[in-house]
Amino acid sequence: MQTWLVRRIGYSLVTLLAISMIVFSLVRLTGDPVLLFLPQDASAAEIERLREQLGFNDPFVVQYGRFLRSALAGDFGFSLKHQEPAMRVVLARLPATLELATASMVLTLALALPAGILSALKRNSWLDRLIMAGVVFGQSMPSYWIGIMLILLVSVQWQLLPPFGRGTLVHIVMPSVTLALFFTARIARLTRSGLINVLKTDYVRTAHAKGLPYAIVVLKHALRNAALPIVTIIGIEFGTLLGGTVITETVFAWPGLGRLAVDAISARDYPVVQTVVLLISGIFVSINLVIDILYRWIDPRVELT
Amino acid sequence: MRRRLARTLVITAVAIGLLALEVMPVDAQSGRLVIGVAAGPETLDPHMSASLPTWNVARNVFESLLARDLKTFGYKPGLAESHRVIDDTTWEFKLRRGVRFHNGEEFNAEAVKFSIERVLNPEQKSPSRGQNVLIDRVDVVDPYTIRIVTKKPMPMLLERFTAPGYTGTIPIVPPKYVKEKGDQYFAANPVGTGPFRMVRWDKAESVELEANPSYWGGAPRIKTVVLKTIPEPATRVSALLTGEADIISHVPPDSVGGIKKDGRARISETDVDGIPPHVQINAMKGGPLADVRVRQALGLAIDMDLVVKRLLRGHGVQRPLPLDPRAFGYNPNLPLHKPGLDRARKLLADAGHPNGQGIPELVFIFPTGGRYLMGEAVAEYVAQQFSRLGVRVKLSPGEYGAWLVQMRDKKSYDLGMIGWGGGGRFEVGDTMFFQLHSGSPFSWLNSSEFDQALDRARETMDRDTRKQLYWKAQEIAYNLAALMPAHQTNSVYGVRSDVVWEAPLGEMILLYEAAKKQ
Repeated sequence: MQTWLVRRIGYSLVTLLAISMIVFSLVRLTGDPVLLFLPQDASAAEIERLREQLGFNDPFVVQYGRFLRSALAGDFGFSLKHQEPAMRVVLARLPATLELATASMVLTLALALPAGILSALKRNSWLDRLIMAGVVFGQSMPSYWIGIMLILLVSVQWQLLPPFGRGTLVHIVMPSVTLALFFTARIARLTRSGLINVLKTDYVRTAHAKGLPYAIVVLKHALRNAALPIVTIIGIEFGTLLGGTVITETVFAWPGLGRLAVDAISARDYPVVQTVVLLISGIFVSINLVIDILYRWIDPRVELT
Repeated sequence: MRRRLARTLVITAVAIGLLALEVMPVDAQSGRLVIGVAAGPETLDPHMSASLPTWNVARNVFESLLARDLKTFGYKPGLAESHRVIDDTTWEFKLRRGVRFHNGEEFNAEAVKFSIERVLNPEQKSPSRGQNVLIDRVDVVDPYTIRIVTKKPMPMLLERFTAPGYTGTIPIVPPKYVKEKGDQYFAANPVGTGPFRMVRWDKAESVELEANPSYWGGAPRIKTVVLKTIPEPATRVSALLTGEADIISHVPPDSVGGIKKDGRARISETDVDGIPPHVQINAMKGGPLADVRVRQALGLAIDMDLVVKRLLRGHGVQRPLPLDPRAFGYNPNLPLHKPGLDRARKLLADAGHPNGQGIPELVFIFPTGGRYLMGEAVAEYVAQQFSRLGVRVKLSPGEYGAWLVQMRDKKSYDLGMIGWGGGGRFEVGDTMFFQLHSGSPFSWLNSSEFDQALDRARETMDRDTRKQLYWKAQEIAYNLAALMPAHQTNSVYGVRSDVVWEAPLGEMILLYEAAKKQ
């Protein structure tokens, strides 16, 4: 286990290094942060001077080396736009993102797992087809549209929930519903197909024949055996929820990392873009590590090599 | 798992139920205004930002030596009670006494000197520096008198010290506070002399301001103001209708009807200092576009009145040149363009390009993302009209960052859409420079006649002479037809019925006069 863990952490670090190189070059592909920082009418002299001052005229490798050295010391650069260290800017938005991601994931599981289990148990019945159609419907509606429709209906018409922002429990309902509707489909379908396969197996029939209540058979035995791919997908979807929810964040004015990243990209705020990407990648890589360890707990037969 | 699931469902249901009992919080307390803005500030240091969200806050928290008279658009005393010109390169300002910054620090000549030097300091990297490089030094004559000395005559100096401003203007900041706390702290906790002071800033969410009771001009009528960031227009409109926001900015034209119909809110609109997005024709590249007749012909194909009425749904105004008529130096004698496809075709033929023959496909760059109201639609309209003359256009939309770089690349494009405005500038000298002077990075015109007229104007301290020179420069520009017929877009705001507030200038949210009806 020890060597495996050390090796996995090593791989993770190499992954993060590669990501840093990729984001470093991609974000510098077009546009000019100095141009975007100065007023539209800045003179060529002003622009050149600022570029020189900020080190943007140095060769790419020099800039990257500088970035890497500071990053290893914990300094991820200074955001020109925000006038404060990039890591501080990003960390300030992290709680909001984690909140939304967690709430959405919880809601997703609350919807998807029962849906998948029910569908599997009643497979090919009208209920099964209804659930699966509903779930796909949820996935097909663009989150932009769902979000705005929810606001118009629930906030403007029915005056039930606040239309935007972050604050109390009420504020998180609509954004997480918007996201959950999208993410439910995959997990529900995976649960359904995994469970159907497991329910056909001998040991399940044996357990049932032994007289175990069917609920226990399904939940304790069958589900656990079907869990591996579901858990993997949960990990991946959580990663997506961390950085890929910019549309929902925009619609609900949720102060998360997605919006921060998109705004930073528009402004070519290199340090913030790099830091956001690396932070989210770091979290994502860690989640996957945790899930791999979880595999062992779910299924002791799994060999961690 | 089922038990846990059931529990979560019950809790959620109860929570929603409890909240259904609570009426939507409409702020009935007179004294609190919530403004829904499209973007939040990244920094609150007025010397360190070129973005509108920062200035939304700065315009209520900071001031400068002069203030804009919102009726005449000339100057009013601000932090300086009076000023005079001593010679072509020396200006003297007599400062107001008894003014304090929000933290109690005294306002005096040191504060003015510090603020100007801060902006001019290359190490500070202020985006406002470029507009002020002609300022040589600031001399403190006595605690309430300063002299600003310029390297060359700088007739537009007063514009730099007029609040509400934009990048390039110099708001006065407290020297002791900034030096003690440092730039980073100041960027998050701004302190100025204005009618409102900062209470708190939840980054990416909201900025809360409260009235400054000891403001020298008299305390504002509203006690608390919160600027909330609501990037999605539909959400912003919803916020207005539910009462979560009292005022919203940047209302999309499609939503105007809905708001007007709703009894709870109304529209407040202004064309003063709006943004005039116009199409520049590359007269520098050579080829057919260098011929003024070709340019005139292209201009005649555009029915700007139609653009304003149909594409902008009336939220704009046609102009002969992309300048604000209230700006000093505006030439009122230039007529609006009258479109005429037949005349256009004849002009093209006279220039040797009957039916567009010999004119290569024109590449037209413009920014996407809503930077200019209905910008994409206007670009498509222009391309369509040109094709009726036989001139082909290749539309090249660009993301803002990419577009900005492209616009400065004068050799690569034939047509470009750009606009200059919304900065509270009310003298035409700078705008004309950026648009058409050969020394401007954005200008696609190289006319020594125009350059000379404008250069002389920008160095002439005498107002009347300067005005005449401006008028001449505009006449030359108009006849050179290097800019398509222009329009100015309105700034459209939504305001709840119980709020007393009108949009004063384009793109500006000034709250000094705002109040809630009792």
